[in-house]
Amino acid sequence: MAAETHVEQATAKSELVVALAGNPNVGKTTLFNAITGLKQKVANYPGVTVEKKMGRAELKGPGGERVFCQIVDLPGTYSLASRSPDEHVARQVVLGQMAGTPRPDVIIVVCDASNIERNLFLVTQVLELGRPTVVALSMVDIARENGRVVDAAKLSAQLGVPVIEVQAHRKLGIDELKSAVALAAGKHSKPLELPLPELMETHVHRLAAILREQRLAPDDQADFDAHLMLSMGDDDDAPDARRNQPKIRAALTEASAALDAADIDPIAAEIEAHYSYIGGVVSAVVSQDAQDATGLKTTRTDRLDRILTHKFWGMLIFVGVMATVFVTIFWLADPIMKAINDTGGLFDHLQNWVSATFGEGPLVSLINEGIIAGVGNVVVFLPQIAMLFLFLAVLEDSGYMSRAAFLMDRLMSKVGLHGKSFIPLLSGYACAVPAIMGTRVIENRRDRLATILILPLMSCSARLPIYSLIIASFFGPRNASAGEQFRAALHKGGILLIMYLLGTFSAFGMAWLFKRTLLKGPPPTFILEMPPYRMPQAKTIAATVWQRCWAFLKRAGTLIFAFSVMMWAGTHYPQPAHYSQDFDGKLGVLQTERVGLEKISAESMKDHDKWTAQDSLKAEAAVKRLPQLRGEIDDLQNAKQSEILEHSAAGRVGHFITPVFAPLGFDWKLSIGVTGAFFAREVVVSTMGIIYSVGQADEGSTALQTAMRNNYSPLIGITLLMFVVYCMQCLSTLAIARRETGTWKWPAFMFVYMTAMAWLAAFLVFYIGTLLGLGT
Amino acid sequence: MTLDQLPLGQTARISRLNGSSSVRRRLMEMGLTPAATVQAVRRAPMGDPLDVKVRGYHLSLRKEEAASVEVESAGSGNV
Repeated sequence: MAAETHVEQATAKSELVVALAGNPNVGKTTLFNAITGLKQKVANYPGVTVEKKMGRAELKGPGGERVFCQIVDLPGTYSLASRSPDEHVARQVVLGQMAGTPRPDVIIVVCDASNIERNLFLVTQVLELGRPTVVALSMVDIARENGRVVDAAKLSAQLGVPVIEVQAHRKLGIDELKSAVALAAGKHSKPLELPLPELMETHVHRLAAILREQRLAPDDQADFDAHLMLSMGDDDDAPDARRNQPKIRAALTEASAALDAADIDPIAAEIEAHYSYIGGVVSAVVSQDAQDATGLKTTRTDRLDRILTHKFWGMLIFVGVMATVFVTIFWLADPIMKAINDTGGLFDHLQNWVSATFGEGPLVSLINEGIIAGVGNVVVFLPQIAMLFLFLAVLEDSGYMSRAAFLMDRLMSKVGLHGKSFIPLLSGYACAVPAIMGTRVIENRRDRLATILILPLMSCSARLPIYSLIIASFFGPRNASAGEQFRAALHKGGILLIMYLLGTFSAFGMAWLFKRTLLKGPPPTFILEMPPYRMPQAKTIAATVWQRCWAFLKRAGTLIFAFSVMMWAGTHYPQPAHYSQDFDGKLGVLQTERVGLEKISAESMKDHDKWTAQDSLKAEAAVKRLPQLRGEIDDLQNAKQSEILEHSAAGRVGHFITPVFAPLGFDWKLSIGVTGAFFAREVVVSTMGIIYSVGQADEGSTALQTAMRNNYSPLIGITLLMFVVYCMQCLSTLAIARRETGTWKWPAFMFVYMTAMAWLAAFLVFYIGTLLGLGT
Repeated sequence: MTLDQLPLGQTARISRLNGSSSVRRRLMEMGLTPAATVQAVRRAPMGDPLDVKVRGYHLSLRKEEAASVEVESAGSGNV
């Protein structure tokens, strides 16, 4: 009969659901990859920003039949006590209370043999649930290196569940683990019961009875919940809402009074019960060599840490590592970015090909300037983003990330942040997108939010072309001697440095402010494991980088694609009914001439033998005239573009919002440029190029620099710089902030506070500058 | 004595934990339970946080949190 019901259940569900739990830094991700073979899906759990990783695997059932299973990789946690969002999710999934995730049939708990005592804490918590459980014993080799041998068979006997040794990166033990999972499914195991002080037991039972009676917990889970309720305070990040139920509240108050009177600390009692049980297990299953027993064994990690966290050498190496990361990113990513998006690059070729194949027209314009340019604006940052993800993953996987947090915590705590905020903030100098995704290492929600909110103030690489254009336009040397050029270079570099410092100091200032107002809470705690150093696993890292890049492309890509098309329409329509001159007619004449000359010049390359002197002269003239002619065509096209832009919806918006920017001294042209940049700040340069009809403009374009210099005073230049430093002009960042905070509320706030700050700073500079008479 | 005052290199036995329940809970979950032995290993270059060894692994915590861990000195040596 029992067997029948089991079969029924299995067919009804058609596949097993397996949850993979474990502490951070125990090789859980590597194990997950080994079990699923990278057949994975990444999403977010509903309502929280915790990553939900799922994969598929095929198992062999006890009778040799195929069993399909879905593996849910839980966030790495030290406890199921539901203190942080990660722990809350892990607990909900394990208990089958997470919406959209079926209750797991089997729970695999990864247990690091080299750190077995603390790892067994989570194992014992899972065992208390009484669900079918398999323990995957990892890092057995490292434990042995450290002189500790853990006997898996004895551990299995002690815990009453299967214990399988695994070395995921060598694919050892994976098949055994899979068989054990298939075998464990459907079997019931008895919940582990740890002895507590009698008074506490009484109150746990009383509380559990109320939970059952009020239907606040499933019957088989009420005891577990009651334990946790009693041993957790009200001051948690995510307090249990059930605590406010009157009957529960009364029972809790009574319990804590009684326990207080008996001098029992429920938290200590609960956790000590686990650790004293663990102590017994460990002494039965672990044999230590003589050296370790006397405690003299120094591990490789200990030796490395003596240098890497050293007062002087540690700091020096840290600075060196960070500098290497950044130089490498810019050095490697720059040529790739150029090859993608510059004149003569991949997307340029694509646009030329589209024009050449389909001619000119509104559809080609949409494809070229809307779709290809828009996609290009996203893809161009991908090399940099991918490399930053790669470095973050290596730092994290090797164990160095914790050391970086250890070294930098004092500095960060001065503005109320956490040591773990440092590397994401630093990454912000390259690009805020991977940096914001990198804040996932910060456990505390408020610290993480504060870090995300200030991150876009770090001057990212997309601001650099704008800084360069403005600085070169207004502060560059013109026909200067070598000495003057050197002085000018220092001067320019100084301005650039000031921009970076302004962004950085403002970021810290805002962090300080946010942590005191908006994100006020109990002082953040810094309780961080310093995991052993480990050689990063190429496969694990590749999977992480790929998943992160894909998430960026999916989230930012789709949004930016839509906005690109909208921006294209906004800058091209409605078109003027009349132009100031007959552009199309003139362009037609010039194009005909160009086609003719190109033909002549192409023919001059072959058939030299049949040439007359006259032919040679004609060819020579054609070759000479062609560049000039192409220039004329470009100028005319730009002049037309400029008129279209002024007449277009974007141009009208620019005119319309000019009063907003008037206090900053911006004319309508700058207003359009700045408005267009809200979509992606790197387009400001090309927009200015179109407005001033100077052709394909980049920041090195002398024509654009001259146009800027002739039209605006240096004070406007500085005002513009101030605006760019602070302004939130990046859709990708907003899209990623939405993904990482789970709501539009925070990106909206980010946008508003930064834009207000930008306007205010620019206004102050312009106002004070004008008062000082610098405006002319 | 509290854990933040424990001289570097010395080992001590934890006698009790104070502080808010969430900090206390986290510290104990990480293995800093009463009767456990703990060794002060080093301080970060800027003086804070601390690196301690407990139950065979390294844990980093701020002085502020370490001050809520009361210890009884048990001499020098490794954990």
